[in-house]
Amino acid sequence: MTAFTSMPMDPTIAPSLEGLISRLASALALIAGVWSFLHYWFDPQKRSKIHRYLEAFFLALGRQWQTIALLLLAFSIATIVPIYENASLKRQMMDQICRETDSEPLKLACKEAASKLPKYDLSQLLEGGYVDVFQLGLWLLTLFFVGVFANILIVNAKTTDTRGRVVLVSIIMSFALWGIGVLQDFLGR
Amino acid sequence: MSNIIFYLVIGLIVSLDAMALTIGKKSTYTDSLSALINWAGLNAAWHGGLLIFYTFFFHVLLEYSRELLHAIDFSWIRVNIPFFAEQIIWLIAKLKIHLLSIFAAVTIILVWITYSSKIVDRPLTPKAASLPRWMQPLFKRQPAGLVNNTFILNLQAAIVAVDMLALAALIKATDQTASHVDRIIMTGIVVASVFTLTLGTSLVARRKFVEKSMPPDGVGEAPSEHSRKFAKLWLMVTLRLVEPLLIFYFLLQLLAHMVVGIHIDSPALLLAAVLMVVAIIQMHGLARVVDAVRSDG
Repeated sequence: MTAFTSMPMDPTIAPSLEGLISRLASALALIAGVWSFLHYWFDPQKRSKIHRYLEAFFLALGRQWQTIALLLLAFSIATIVPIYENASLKRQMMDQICRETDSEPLKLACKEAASKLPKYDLSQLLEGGYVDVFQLGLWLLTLFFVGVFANILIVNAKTTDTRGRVVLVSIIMSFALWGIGVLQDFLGR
Repeated sequence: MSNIIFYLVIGLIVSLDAMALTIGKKSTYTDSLSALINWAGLNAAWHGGLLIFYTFFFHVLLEYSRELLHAIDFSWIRVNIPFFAEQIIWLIAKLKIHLLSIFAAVTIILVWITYSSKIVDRPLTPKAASLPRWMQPLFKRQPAGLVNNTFILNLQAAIVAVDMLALAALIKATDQTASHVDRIIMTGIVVASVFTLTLGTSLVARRKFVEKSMPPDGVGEAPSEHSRKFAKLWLMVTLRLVEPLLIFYFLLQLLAHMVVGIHIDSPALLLAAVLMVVAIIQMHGLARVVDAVRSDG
């Protein structure tokens, strides 16, 4: 329930898509966690169709973890490089403005302001429509790690003596999604 | 002018797979010149036809979705929907703002799916199942009388051109300012490039890879069959990998543009594109890629 209590619940705040998704995902993760726990605890042999589909999905994710890791690395480069390039472009523009300034005190003030410009600028990432891409990346990352954990622990949990692991994965799954919800909430501010 | 150069680059990139297929085809080394021209024409027609079709399809899809979202009357929702009206309005407003981001995200998925299946496809033993579902009925049954050639050649050319879907989506997501005339010019350049490069490749391949008999005077040494086969295999693997590499570069440029809103060219993006190609190979295994190429030879 922490996922719900950690979110701002002020009714005057307009509902955000991120908040809605986080709450929905956290609720689903908790339900899935409890469901997995009860299902495996009481009757590990009779798994539902949805459960088998989920297992197959996570198994596929787990098998392709190297591919997904490479893709995430490529996408991270494509995300980080323009942030640096953009900041560098801003610094160059600022230097140009400083050079073109005639007044000496203004030039000094300009240079000081230029020296304070950050080496990377996340502000653009968090405004406009671009933040969605970042969040999508976070979601994929979470799904990836949940998938790998699930593959290692749930799918390989063939016997009843591995119930403890299943419970552990359920908890990890819930907390991972909850963590992303909190992170999204933080980024959304 | 810069647009024309960009379209020429696109034309070169999309010709790479047709070139690889041409090197692998046995008929390249045995058929008459008119058959080679026919083969180059088929490739150009399928590439150009599918590119223009998908380009206008995505244009209509995106523009009409935008119009539709703008046409929604928020006051009607407030009055007629008793539950979550504000949330629905907020969601629609978000969709309006992020429509292009959503389209770009779908494009990234489309490009990945297309190239991850294409890299291990075997167009020289063509199956209609390799085509998108909507095209499969066209090649469901081999018409009586069209023995082998026309049907098979069309199927092969269509399979090689399946990536036009990904390319059209990528171009639409990358360049919002291009007019219909620009699109038609681009298609014309793609058609000309595919035709010229496919025909040129077949002529060069005939000269380079066909086994020659020993020189009549016995002086010198004809290249061994093994070295020729290896050179052909290497060339085909490379051509299969170079096309996704270049397309992935544009894809990552699109992603970078989505992140900060500026267009950048950077060697780091090329490195990221290499990583994506490695990811595809990792997914299938290099042996499978080589096998697919070998079966073409």
